[in-house]
Amino acid sequence: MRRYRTTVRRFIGGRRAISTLLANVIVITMVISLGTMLYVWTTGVMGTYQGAAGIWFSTRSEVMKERLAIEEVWFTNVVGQDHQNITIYMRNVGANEIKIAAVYVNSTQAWTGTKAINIGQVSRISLDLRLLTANNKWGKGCVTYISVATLRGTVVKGYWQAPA
Amino acid sequence: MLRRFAVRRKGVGTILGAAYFIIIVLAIFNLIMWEVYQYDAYQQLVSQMNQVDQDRISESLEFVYPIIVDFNPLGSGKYSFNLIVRNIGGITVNTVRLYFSNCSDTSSKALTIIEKGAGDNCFTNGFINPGETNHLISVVTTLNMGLVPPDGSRPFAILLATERGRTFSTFYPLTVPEWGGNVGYIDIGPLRFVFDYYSLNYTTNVLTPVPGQQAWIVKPYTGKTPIMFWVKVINIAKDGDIRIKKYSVFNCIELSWSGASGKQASFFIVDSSSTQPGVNMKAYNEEPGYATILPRSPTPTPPQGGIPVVVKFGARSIATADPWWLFIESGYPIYEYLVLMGFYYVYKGQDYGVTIPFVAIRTNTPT
Repeated sequence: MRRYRTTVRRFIGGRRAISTLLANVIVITMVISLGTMLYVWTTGVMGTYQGAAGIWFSTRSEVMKERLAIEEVWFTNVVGQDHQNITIYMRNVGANEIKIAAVYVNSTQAWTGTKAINIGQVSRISLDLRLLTANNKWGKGCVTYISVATLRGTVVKGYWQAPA
Repeated sequence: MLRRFAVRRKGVGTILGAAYFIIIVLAIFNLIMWEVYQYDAYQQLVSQMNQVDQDRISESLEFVYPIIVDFNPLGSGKYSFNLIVRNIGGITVNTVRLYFSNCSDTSSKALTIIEKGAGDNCFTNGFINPGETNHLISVVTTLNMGLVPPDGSRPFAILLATERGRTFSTFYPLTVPEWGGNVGYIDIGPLRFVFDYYSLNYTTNVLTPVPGQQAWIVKPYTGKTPIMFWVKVINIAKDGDIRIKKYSVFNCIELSWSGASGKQASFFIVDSSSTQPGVNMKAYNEEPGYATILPRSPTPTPPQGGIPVVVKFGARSIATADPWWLFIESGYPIYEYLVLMGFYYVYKGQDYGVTIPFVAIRTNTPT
């Protein structure tokens, strides 16, 4: 114990090599602070990258699971509304629930909303062509271009012919 | 040894730097591993969905002539029949829905949906193994397919939807010409006229409409009776629809030797929704959206060469609904007529007109 007190007193009272000691302390402090900053920056950048990449993978995976089949397009007449209705039957044949967001007839939006179709289920959307433009009708035997878009961005499209 | 290590000052920075370096390397390695894992999971999903797509395009079904067999009324407005199909693909097909659409009806009742399982309209035996031929899908429905004329004048489009999202379709009935070595039709330009017994019908203001009666012999028929002729026409072109123009005419030349006047009775085209002259006959409108359209022949080509469309003639003058008759005398004279048709149409944006040497008809002959 006595020897320890003597050593401490000599260390405090000594004047030799003080600059070397300070230099070591400063260098160590700088290394620690710079290293900490580098670590924080690196983890931040990586976290941001991981987040963006995770969203990309997640989104693409969800889209990849979507499979929509248009089974039937039915051109119908309603009494008093001649040649103004089209009914589309769609089936979800993918591995994810699908939400229909819009339907286009001849590249013009004919329906918008959200209609969910569970896996393996079939659903229908009835279009009223009067909502497109005034007196809009499907023509007898006319070929109609129809595309159905989902909320995740999948688009299923094709040509269907009205009855002659 | 340990004490010497603890009191030495050399290499502290190196140790700390190395520690940080290792930490950063480990973090980057962790990031790379995470990304590899994510990419691997994504690729597994892509492979899985590619397999789903591959399975889907491996499906291939064909309807087998005569498509519907074993038709049987069950009572209570229900009927049963079997659909014949064969699986020529490499994978088992699971049928999930059938759509029966009446091509000659555009009302909301024209489409009948037949679901798998139980109900008023249902089917069973929808699994078709690869290589299976003459597979029977048993259908129970309220649809009376026994009433469908065998001549194809009022066809149904049958569409089969599979679990993987494919659809396979056919027309019913498939009509096959029964003439040995003779085609039984004439083609003029893209127009085909079939000469079977059911391809020429007529209705009058008293004759029950739809599908009318065969017009080879019009009887009983007396003067000033409005009459309307129904002619089956097929567009055999694959590159364009045909729009019929209002000048199209069904021209009956009265043969004077049979006692007729020797004049001509011309019946102009009327709207396709017309059923009876003087009762329900509408003037023809040749504008797109209203005119009678002969749709282009689909692929694969149907047995008749295209989609049959019934064109109706009954107006006294162009684009009117005025009824017209064959002659004005009373009684039931036996007259003979040669029929020529003038067909005016728009095909691929160009106007055409052709004369069709059509049929010879008689009135009131006993046989």
